[in-house]
Amino acid sequence: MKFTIFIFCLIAFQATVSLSQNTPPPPRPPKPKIAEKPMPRVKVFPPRELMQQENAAHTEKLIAVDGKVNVQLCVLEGNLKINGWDRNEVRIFVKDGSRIGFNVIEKSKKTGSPVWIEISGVETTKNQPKQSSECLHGDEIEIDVPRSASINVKGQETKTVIDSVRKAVVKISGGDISLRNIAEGIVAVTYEGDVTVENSSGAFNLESATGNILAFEVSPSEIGDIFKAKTTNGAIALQGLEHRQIEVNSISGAISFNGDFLSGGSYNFGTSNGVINLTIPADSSCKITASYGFGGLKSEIPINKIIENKSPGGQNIIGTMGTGDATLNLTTASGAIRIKSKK
Amino acid sequence: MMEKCYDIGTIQAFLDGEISPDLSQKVTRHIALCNDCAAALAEAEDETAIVFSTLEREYDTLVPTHRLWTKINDSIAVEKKQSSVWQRLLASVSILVSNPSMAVAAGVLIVFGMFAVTFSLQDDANIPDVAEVKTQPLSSDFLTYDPIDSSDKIMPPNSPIATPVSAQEENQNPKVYPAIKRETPRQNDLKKLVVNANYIEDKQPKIEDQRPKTVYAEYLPGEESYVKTIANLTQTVNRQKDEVLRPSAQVSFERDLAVVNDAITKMKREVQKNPRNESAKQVLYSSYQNKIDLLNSVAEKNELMASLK
Repeated sequence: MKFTIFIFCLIAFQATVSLSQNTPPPPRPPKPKIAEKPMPRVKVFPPRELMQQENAAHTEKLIAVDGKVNVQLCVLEGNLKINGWDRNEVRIFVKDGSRIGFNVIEKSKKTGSPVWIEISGVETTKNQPKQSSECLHGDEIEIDVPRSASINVKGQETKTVIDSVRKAVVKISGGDISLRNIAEGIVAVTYEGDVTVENSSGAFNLESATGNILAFEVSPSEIGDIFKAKTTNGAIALQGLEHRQIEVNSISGAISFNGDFLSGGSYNFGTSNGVINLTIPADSSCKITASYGFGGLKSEIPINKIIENKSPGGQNIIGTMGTGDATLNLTTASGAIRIKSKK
Repeated sequence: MMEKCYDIGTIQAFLDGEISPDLSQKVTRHIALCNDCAAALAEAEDETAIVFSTLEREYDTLVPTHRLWTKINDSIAVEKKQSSVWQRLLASVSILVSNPSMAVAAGVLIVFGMFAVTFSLQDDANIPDVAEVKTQPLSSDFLTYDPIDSSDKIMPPNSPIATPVSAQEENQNPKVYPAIKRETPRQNDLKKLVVNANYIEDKQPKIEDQRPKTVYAEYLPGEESYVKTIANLTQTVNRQKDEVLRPSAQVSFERDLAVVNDAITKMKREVQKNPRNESAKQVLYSSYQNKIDLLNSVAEKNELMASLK
C-alpha cells in the first residue's frame, strides 16, 4: 500500500514537473550579416516636361522653358560651363556632385512656359521641404540654355565659362570668369581670379580683387551703355572697345588700352600706383586732362597744352589732341602715363 | 549828391542788423550807389560767412565748451574740499529722512539692525573659547597658550579667521603659538574708516583727463564724407577680414591698402602745402575713392559668402 502511494506520488510529481516546464524553443538562426549598402535613390517620376536620366555618379535633367528664360543658380564648387543652344530647353548635367532640382519661379502668361527658373542642388518635390543648402556642386557642371536666356550665377570656388547667351551676371568669391558672345551686357565679379570677356556687347561691369581683367572686341548694344572695369592689383587690358563711356580703375595694377577714341566719348582711366598705357591712333581727337601727382606723362602724340603744372605732387596737364572730340581723363598718384601712337 | 561813405563799423553793424531802421535805409541807399561801400559790405559779408562757418561746427556739436567744463570741474573740486565726510553723510541722511517712506524704512532697518546685533552678541557670548574648540587632544605645552587677553585680540592659528595650519605642522610645532598680532575684522574696518577719512582727493584721476577731447581736423570740401565713410568701412572690414579673406588674400589686401594710404598721405601733404593745387586735390579724392572701393570689396565678398551659406 505504501509502495503504491509512493509510486502514485512519484508519477504525480513527474507529471507536475513535466507540465510546468515549457518545451525549449528551437535555437534562433543567426542573423544574416548584410553589408550596409546605401539606400537606393528613389526614382521620382518627373512631370511631363521633365525628363531625367541619372545614375550614382552623374545627374542630368532637362526642362522646357521660354526662349527668354531667366536662369539663376548658385554653385559651391566645380567647373561651370553654360552654353547657349537653339532649343527652348534648359539641360543640366552634373558629374560627381549634387543632385539637380528645377524650381519654376514664374511662368509665361501666354505660353505657360517657365520664364524664370532656379536650378538647385537638391531635388524638390511637393511633399519635401526645401533643404538648407541648395547650391550645386560637382566636378563638372554643364548647362545648356536658350540663346536668349539671361543667366544669374552666384558661387564660391567656381571656374565659370559662359558662351552665347543674352545676358550674364556672375558673382563668385573665387575662380576665373570667362565670357564670350554675350549679347546684352555683363556683370562679372570675382574676388580672386581673372575676368575675360570676348566678342560681347552691352553694358559691362567687370570687377576683380586680385586678378586681371581682359576685354577684347566688346561694344555697346544700346546708346549709353557704359564699360566699367575695376581691379585692385591686377592688370586691365582692353582692346577693340567700342563703348563711348569707359571707366577703368586699378590701385596697383597696370592699365592698357588699345583702341580708338570715338567722337563724343568719355574715357576715364585711374590708378594709385599703376601704369596707364594708351595705344591710340595718331590722329586721335580728344581733350585730355591728366593729373599724375608724383608720376609722369609721356606722349608720342603731340598734345596742345593749355595748362601745365609741374609742381611735384600736383602735376597736371590740360590740353587737346586734334580737334578735341572726345574727353580723356587720366589720374594717377604715383604711376606713369604713356600714350603711344598705333601703327 | 553822393553821401559820405560809411565806416566799416557802421557797415558791420548794418550787416548784423544792429542799427536803427532809418540808418539802415540810408546805408542801403548809399550802398546801392557807392561802389567802395558795396565792396566793403561784400568783404564784411565774406568775413562773417567764414566766422559763422567756423562757429557753426561749434554750435552743431552740442559738446560743452572747454570753459564750461573747467568751471564745472572747479566748482565740484571746491565743494568737495569744503565739505567733510561727516557733512556729506549728514546731508545724504537728511535727504533720506526728508522722504517719509524712506524715513520709515530707515527706522525699520535700524530696529532690525539693533536686534541683529544684540542677538549676535548673545551668540558670541555662548560660543566657547576658540582654543577649547580644538578636538585634538591638547598637550600640556599647548595648554600653556594663553590667548585670554581679549584686548590684544591674539587669536590662535586655528581660529575661524586665522590662516589654516595643517595637522602635520601642528604636530611638529605643538608648543606655544607665537603671539602674532592678527587683525580682527573690526580692526580692519576701523583701519578702512581711518583710511577713508584721510583720503586725499588729489590722488583721484582728474575728471578733465577722462573727458573725451573734441579734435577738429581741417578738411577740404567733401573730404570729411570720404573720411567718415572710410572709418565706418574700416571698422566693418576689420571685423570681417579674418573670416572672409584667406591669408594670401589678406596679404595682398594689406599691401593694396598700404599703397592707397601712401598715396593719400602724400597727396594730403601736397594739398596742405598748396591748397590751390587742384590736381593734387583730384588725385587725393581719387585715392580716397580707391580706398573705399578696396574696403568695400571685402564687405561685398562677405555678403556674397553669407548669401551662399
